[in-house]
Amino acid sequence: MTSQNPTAERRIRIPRPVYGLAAILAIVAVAGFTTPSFATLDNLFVVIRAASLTGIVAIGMSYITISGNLFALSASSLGALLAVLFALITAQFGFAAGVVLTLLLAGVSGVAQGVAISLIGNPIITTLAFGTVFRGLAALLSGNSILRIESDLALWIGTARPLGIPTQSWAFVVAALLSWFVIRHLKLGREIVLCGANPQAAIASGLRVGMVTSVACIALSTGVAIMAMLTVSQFSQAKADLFMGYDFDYIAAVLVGGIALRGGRGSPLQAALGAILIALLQNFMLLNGFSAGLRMTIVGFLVVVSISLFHVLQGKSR
Amino acid sequence: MTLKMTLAIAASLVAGLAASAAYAESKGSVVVFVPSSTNPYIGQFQLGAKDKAKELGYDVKVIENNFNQAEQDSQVQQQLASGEQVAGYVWWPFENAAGVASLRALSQSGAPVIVSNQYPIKGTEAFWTAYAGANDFLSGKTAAEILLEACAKAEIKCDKGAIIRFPAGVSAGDDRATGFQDAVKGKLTVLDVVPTAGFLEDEGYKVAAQIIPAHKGELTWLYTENDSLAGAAAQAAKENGLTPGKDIFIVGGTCHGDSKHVKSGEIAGTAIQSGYWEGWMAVQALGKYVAQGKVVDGEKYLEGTPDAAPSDADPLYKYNFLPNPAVGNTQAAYDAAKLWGKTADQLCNF
Repeated sequence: MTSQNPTAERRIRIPRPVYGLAAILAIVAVAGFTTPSFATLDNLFVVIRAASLTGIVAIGMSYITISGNLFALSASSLGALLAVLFALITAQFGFAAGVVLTLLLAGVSGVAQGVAISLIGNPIITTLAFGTVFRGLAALLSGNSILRIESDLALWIGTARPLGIPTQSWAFVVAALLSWFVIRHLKLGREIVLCGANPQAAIASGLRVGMVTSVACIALSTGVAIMAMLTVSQFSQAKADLFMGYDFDYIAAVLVGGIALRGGRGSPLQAALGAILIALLQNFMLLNGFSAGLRMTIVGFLVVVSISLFHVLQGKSR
Repeated sequence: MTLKMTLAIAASLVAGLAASAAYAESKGSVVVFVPSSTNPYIGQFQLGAKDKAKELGYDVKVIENNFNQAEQDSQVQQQLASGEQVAGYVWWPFENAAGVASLRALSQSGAPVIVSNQYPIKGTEAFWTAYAGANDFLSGKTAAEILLEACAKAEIKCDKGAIIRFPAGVSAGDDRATGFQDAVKGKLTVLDVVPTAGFLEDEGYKVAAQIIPAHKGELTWLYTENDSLAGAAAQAAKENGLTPGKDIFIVGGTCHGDSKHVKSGEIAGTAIQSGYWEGWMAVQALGKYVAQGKVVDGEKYLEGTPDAAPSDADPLYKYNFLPNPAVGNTQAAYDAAKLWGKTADQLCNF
């Protein structure tokens, strides 16, 4: 079969992550020239450290978006609940038990949300409701008090810098690469992409869409658990009001990274790049004394521009 | 059958009389409007309010909002629409300025209204009976005094520094920053005032880890508005090769967070701002008004005595401020610190 439009075949398709990289380079160039303290190696590590915890959750969130379920609005509340559970378990049974049981409980919460989304059919409403349940449970279990842990191993993990790089940043890099590998090279990853691209076709092909949704939710819960455990380990304490208002940051990283809102397109690496891009911008604004209101406005504007830009590009590539 | 019925009626009457007696013992309900107790400080506030109400013979109804002024406004409307007769209200608005309409509505009910935690906005005096709570200007001033004392004893230069403050729009953050800046005027140079996105360690760390390297070699002090943020700043300073208490002086000014940074000397000192006593004194103020029926013009800084709590017989002023006594940055000083019969550990580690 010959193409009806030979010019379309000759058109070079620029991979989406390239847009993210280009935006990062643009910010680095502008900030490097205008802000003396920006373009230093120390500051680069600071930015990656600042992006790490948001990035780890955004990577998990990218599974939800790619699988065609938009977003989960329960991530920050689940983070608070898992932080409280991790602190309670670690204080009682030690650090190893804390890590294992927190990850298990994160998995259970992922399955519960996945099943509920499959039954209800609306990921936004479902996860919003779950978020309220998680935050309430965190308050009940913590007794509205600060839970402290005394664990040298936890403190080391929360504050160490192997090879001069914070553990949070190592975890971020490993999570990004591992998640990219799953989506790109494993059958499970391809199923997630297929379900997001066309759920009806996926069902007709015999794919278990409900199971894929649960896997995506487990991926997010795992990212949230890692973020919660690293935070509790760093400060040796947990509270029920941790991570309040962070959901927008996770979603913004996914959107700015250029993952298709309707699902079926994108990679966790893009979410990681989105988190770094936002952290770079935040760092630039902080160093230049931008007010909090202006910082919020600019990040919000960046999200709107990103969605619009990628929507236009998606339309052209059809 | 008749005997059974008689016994049942008798039992009902006894139960009813007992309930009436219990009701008669209560002086009525105090309705406390506060943000969510998922914030441990607010949890302590509620505890103090309940303890004092019980002591004075009031019932307490706490109405929490999820850090949302619109929700709190709606709660006020529902409470007023219920027509419930109350002994009075304790009003802790989530957003001070945005909550003025609800404050006015409460005052129009005729019941006394005690404002707490958020320093009342000028021009709203007619809408509330008395203010009983923290004075954030004083908190900032106390933190400045702790820092100036540390600087005076320092062997290194102590001049330029930065303020890491609460999120924009939080009036307590504005007031603390103002109190601090007024007290250090002409003595210290403020290079930067950077707001965080929250009140806890993770947010404090995020900001401190970025501004410390950006001002490398310049920063000699940091004021962070509470000890949670101060502890995180101390951690960020150490990661940047600075020894807190030696190369850089950090002060939070309110004991909210992990006390180990104070006890170890990493933080220059702290002050007791107790959520428990703030809730307690808000209900005490209401009790005073009900008992005495008058408010003295002017302001009163309640005495920060170590053992005895202030008497219910003392007059109620228009402004009644919670003391926030300074605490030194050693284990011994922390162990010895007390306010109104409770230790710093009891009041700060909640």
